[in-house]
Amino acid sequence: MSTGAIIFLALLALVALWAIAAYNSLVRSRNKVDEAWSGIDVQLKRRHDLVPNLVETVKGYAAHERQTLQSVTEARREAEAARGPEQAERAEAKLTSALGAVNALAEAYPELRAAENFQRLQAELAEIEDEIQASRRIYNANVQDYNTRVQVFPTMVIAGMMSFTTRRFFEIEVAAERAVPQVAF
Amino acid sequence: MLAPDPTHAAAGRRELFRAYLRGRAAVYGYLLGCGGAFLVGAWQQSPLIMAAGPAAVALGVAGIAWYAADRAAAGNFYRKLSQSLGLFLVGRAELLPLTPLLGAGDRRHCENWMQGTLPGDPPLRGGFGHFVYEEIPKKRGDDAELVQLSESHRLALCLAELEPSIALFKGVFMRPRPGLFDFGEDWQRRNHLRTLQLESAAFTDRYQLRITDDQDERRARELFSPTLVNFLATHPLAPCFELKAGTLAVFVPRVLEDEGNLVFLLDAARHIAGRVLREVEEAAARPAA
Repeated sequence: MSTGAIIFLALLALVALWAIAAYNSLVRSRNKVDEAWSGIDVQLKRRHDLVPNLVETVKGYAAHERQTLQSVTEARREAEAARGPEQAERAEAKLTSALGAVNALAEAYPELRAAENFQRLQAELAEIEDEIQASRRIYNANVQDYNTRVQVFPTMVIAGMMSFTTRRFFEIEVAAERAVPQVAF
Repeated sequence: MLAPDPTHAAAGRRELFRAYLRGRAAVYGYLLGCGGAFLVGAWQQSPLIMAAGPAAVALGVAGIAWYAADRAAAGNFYRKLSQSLGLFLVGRAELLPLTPLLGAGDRRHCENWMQGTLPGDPPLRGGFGHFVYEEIPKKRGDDAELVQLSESHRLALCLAELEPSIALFKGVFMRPRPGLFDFGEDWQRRNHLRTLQLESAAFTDRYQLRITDDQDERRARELFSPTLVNFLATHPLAPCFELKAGTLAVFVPRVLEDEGNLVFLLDAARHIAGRVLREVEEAAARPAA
């Protein structure tokens, strides 16, 4: 075998090794995105599980606010049925808004606001929202890492050949973010 | 002479150095050294020793003064820091090898060690300072010179006693992810460990997370809540921790010698300890399966 052929084969082997490494890194990166999505899913489920308790507690003090409570229940049902970041984003925004209305109710019902159970649920909800935010940051960081791999040269060649497509960031508005601090002078 | 409120271990060192050089001990030492060099030169009949001797003595005196100033400045800094944190400055200390890190290397000790109740709520007993472990090469004969080959590793460490976590956390260990050409000692390797992968790519890039064989993996995963993972993955100091036998050892694999970073490490340790205790509380509140 001539020297030229050996060099050519060696180069070919190097390219093949690089392609395998690039493909594996893309798969690893994509799996991390999926794992992070499962993490968000777990936290969202915790929030969904809290809603019936919250509704029941509010019912005890403000039973005639049926429309608000119904919209929360409906938003929860939609959020539970949502699949994937895009649907979840919309459904969770609706649920956040409905939960915001429940919080507003507490302002009108001092007894509800003072109820121990309600306070505990609110604290739990706030904690879950913190965890959702943290999960979202992890997910988005993973998506950014993955998208960069898919878009930069030369891994984009492998990504294109193997149908790796970019993923969408997950944006969700939570009650803590919506709340505007009230400053009184 | 000394910085009234030193913010790092080298604060006031230059002033102390100047003061030591002007001090009686340095002057007498220099004069005696010069006299000695002159006598040795005369005895050896060497004009070179007689001429260069005083310069060598001056360098030696300056070196000793610099070392003394460095120690005194550091001592002052750690004394003030321990007072401000409400801790007792022990200085040099030995620790029980309760976690793999605390048993790393062949010889280990703590320097600038402060102990007592760590500031913050809830009150936690613990200590804080620098941890040094040395690796002494083996199978090189009994030559006394071999001791000089030992390699020292220094890191900033904060220990907290978390007794309630004993039953739940049998061994959870984090360390910085080694690079491709990082051949440093893996002190956790001596134990039978399993590697745990978390969902965060940033965390995985930064750390290696391992648990002991008898550690419940689900519990360990629950400990690493998204907020804790985020906290660790984005913390500027990249703190690592080991949790075993009710001892939490939070460390940064380098020496921190300024108040800002040391207090930052202490805050990180409190944050992690808080998360561990919360997990313990939640586990206790959950009905048994």
